[in-house]
Amino acid sequence: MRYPRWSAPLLIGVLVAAGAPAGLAAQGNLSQVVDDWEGRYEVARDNYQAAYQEWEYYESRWEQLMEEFGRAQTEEDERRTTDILAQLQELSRERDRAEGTLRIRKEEWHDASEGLISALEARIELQVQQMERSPVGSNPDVLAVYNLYSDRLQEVESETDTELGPRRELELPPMPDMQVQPDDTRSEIGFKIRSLRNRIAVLEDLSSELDGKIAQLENRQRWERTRDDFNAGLRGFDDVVVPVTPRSGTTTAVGDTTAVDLELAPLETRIARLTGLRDSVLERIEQLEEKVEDFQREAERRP
Amino acid sequence: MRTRRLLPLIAVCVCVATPAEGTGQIRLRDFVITEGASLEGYLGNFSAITVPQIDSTERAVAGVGEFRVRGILGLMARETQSVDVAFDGGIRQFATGGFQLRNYAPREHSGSLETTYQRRIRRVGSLTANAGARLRSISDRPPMPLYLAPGYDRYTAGMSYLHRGIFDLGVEGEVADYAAPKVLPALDLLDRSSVVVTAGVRKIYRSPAELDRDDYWGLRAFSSYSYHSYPQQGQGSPRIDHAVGAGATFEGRWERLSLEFTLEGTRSRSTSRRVEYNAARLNGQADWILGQSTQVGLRGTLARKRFIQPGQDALVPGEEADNASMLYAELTRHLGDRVSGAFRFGWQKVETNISGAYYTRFGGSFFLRVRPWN
Repeated sequence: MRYPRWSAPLLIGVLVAAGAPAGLAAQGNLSQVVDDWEGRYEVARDNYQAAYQEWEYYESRWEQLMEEFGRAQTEEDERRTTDILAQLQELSRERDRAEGTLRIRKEEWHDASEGLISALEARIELQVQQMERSPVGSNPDVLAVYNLYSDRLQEVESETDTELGPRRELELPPMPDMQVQPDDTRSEIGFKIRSLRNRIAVLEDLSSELDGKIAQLENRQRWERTRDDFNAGLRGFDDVVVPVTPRSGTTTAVGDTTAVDLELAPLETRIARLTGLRDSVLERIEQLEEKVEDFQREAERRP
Repeated sequence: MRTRRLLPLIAVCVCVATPAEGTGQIRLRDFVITEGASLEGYLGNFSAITVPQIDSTERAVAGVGEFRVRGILGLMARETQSVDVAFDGGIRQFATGGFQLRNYAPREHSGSLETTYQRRIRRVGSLTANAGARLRSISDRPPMPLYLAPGYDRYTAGMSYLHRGIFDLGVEGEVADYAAPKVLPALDLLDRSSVVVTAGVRKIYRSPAELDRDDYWGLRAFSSYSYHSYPQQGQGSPRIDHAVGAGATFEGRWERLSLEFTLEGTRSRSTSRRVEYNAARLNGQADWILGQSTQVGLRGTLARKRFIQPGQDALVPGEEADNASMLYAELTRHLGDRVSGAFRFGWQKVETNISGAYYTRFGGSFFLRVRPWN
């Protein structure tokens, strides 16, 4: 049985609300939630590592072919050069696909690690509650369980920090430093053109992804604004002020969602950032397309 | 008179604008113009100390037109700190019918300005300071059963701190002056100074998926202490209330649904035993997105109050009612990126325990909202 992500905090909430009389039962359920997330974490990590190995294979093969290509050019072995170019062209598609898969698997591992960390934190919190209720030293098993989950939490945090690093924002890939050399043949220029087109395809995918994210955030912003309009409309002329009691202490410390998640920037900031990035991506696509046209003109002049 | 009342508001503007001037980052974050028309009905035999006009009718109707402008000006937006000024101002005109004496034409003006400074301390907490002013005036205020809140000048200032997104502590002070005209001295009874201290603990759960980071749900338990001083009430010594409250809020936001419920209980004790009470309030709000361009919102409130003094049979200024029930529903249709239309239905009933007196307000409205610089 798989437990949804929210089941751990829900159990905690129920436990606290009930004054924790059923602590042991909840501990069992929460341990199962942790186990379930452990399973997902293991699967996501294995998938990432498999994707990494595949990408690593194509990457090392690419570097190997590039070296061979350089040697063939030095030795002026035209047949070998053409042969390697064909292999590079074939490999280029597989390498891009493996890179895309690796990115997706990385996100999935990030998601699973956050779920597991959340479940472990909830389980540790419950254990702390139990320790606080028990006299010091009365039950060494309680401390052992606490240490077990704490150690696992540290292990997961360390593993994901080391292997994944922080979640990366979408970013503009660097402009490829690719020029037509005076001694490039038509087929070599053709290879460079195909390489540039691959970059354009990657950027077009990124642009589509950004469009989707921007649309989602803009919908969210419109929704939030409509809700604010409704609330402001009721408050504006005191329609909901009635002569019952004076205002009481229901004010929250801070009222917007940005404050709830300290690391999450406001919607409009994120929309502006993504829109700026999308514009840069579109500009980069235009630059690459111009470069492709230049290369094509140059290739036509070569033997 | 109006100029004198506006001076503090202008002072607040100047104070908040001065430090932001040098940043060169002033930006209009939101700006919305609202025009609305409503048809409302009022029933009941309620009496309020601050509504001295009497009319024997228990049924009245009104056509209402309104115009409002609301927005948020971002004066500073840096990575860890921001200064925003929220402004809201409007005018509303009623044309009433059904009163025995004459038909009234109340006109309301309201305006508010609130400055919020927020500083995020990375991975530790968030500090918020705010100062605000709200002015409201009403001319030709009608008798019951058309209850319209009286005019006032209200100033607030507060500070709060949210630690690690879990613990919060806040304090807010408020001064409310009802600026009673000579013909209506009873309004001065509502003048109030308050200090509210709130402490809460919350747990928010977010989706780990990057695209769903705005989805979350959470629980917040809070308690509060409120000090209310009414200098114009009490014979010899002013009325001072000390209230403690406790409650919980559930809040959740998902891709197409938003929910928020708050249940709160209050125990208010006073220098005047006559006005001591226990109260409870349940607030709920829900918003759904229906399809691409349609959104439905619901707001509801149930408030209950019981004076602890047995046989309490005298009205308390501004707190004449014991129970209130309110329900508002709004259907919004987006007519493009910048324009939306909304239909609203509202109903509220406010009543007393001692005599069964009540008033009911219900009606439908249409609003056109424009964001010219969306």
